Amino acid sequence: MRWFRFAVLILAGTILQKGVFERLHTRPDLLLILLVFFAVYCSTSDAIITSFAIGFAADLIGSPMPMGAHMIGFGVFGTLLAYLNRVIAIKRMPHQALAIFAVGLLAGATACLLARESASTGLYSGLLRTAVCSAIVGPFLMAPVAWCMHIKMNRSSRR
Amino acid sequence: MLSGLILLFAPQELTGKIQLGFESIFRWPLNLGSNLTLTATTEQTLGDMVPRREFNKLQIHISNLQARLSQQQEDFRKLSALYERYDVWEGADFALAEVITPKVKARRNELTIRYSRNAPVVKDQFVLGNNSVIGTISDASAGTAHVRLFTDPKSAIRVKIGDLDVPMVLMGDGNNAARISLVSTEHKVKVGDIVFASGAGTAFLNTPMTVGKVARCVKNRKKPLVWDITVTPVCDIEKLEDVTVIIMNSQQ
Repeated sequence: MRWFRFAVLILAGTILQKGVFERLHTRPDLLLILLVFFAVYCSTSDAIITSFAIGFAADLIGSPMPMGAHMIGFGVFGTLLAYLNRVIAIKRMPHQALAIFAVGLLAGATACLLARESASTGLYSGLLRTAVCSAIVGPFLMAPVAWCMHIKMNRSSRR
Repeated sequence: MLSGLILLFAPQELTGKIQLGFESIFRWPLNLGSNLTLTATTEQTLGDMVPRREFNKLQIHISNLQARLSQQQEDFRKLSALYERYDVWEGADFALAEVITPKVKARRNELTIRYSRNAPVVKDQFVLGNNSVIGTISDASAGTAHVRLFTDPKSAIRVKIGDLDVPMVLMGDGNNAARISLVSTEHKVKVGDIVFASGAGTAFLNTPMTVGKVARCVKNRKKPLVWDITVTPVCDIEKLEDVTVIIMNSQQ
């Protein structure tokens, strides 16, 4: 695992997410997509570390939500996804899209619960929109991320 | 997991500072990205655009309008000063006019002026230059008028000198001056006395206005019981750039 590249990639994703996508009404969550990528294509231990690190990055740009909520949500569900990948290979694009969608909803809802965000229609519709948008865009970003990280995507071995 | 829990239960003031610190460190790329998105998402309709040639024409038009506005503001200022200065006049109005060509040293002493077409300028109205009467309108048409100066040989204006309550007539001599005749030497007249257009016998002036001053006062050679008075203008008529026409209400 190339940790320096990982750090640069996460930093770039964080800046893009906050700087470019923040103004869009319906936007994908780049950090969520990266979370699923590393959970699927890295070893389980690496996936756990990367999940919490990505969660921390999401907390940095998650204001006004308090820090820690995304870190726990992303960390827990990233870890679960990494363990699930040991049982069910998530290599095909439809499966990856489904994984992104599910993790997006669950991690987002957990973060909102931990942050004690008041439940409202707007909150859930926002989560749903982000999850759907990420699920559509995410599978197409896997290849470029793999290229950046020098990870081969056609490996079928489960770790 | 432990770190997450620590961050979750840490005071939000502290974690808020961490978030602000991140945004402050990466302020420039965040700003750049935000501006790019804003530009991309802002609707720019072609209807708001004009060709460069059209734009240049509009720019020139704006400059012209600004110059006109400055000129009108200046005219307004002058008119306001006149109204304040001559507030005793009732029913009087003023029309500003620009001097096109002065003819002071010629055989005929007159000015050609340009005034606003809306102003009701007619013959025999008095014309002020530098707050003194310089003459009367001799003819007017479609925004242009001739002003017969009081120094013109064909000019004859009823005047009075100082506080003397004696009717006199000022007649031009064609030499940038005018004369008053048939004033008895019983009346004290001296060089420097101010000569006023009295407005007597005319509907175009209802208050005394300065015309000139006595430049020479000698006894007439043929009739020693009368004065030979020479009056010169108080302002340099040749250098006037703009004048004011007095419009009395009775003519409207």
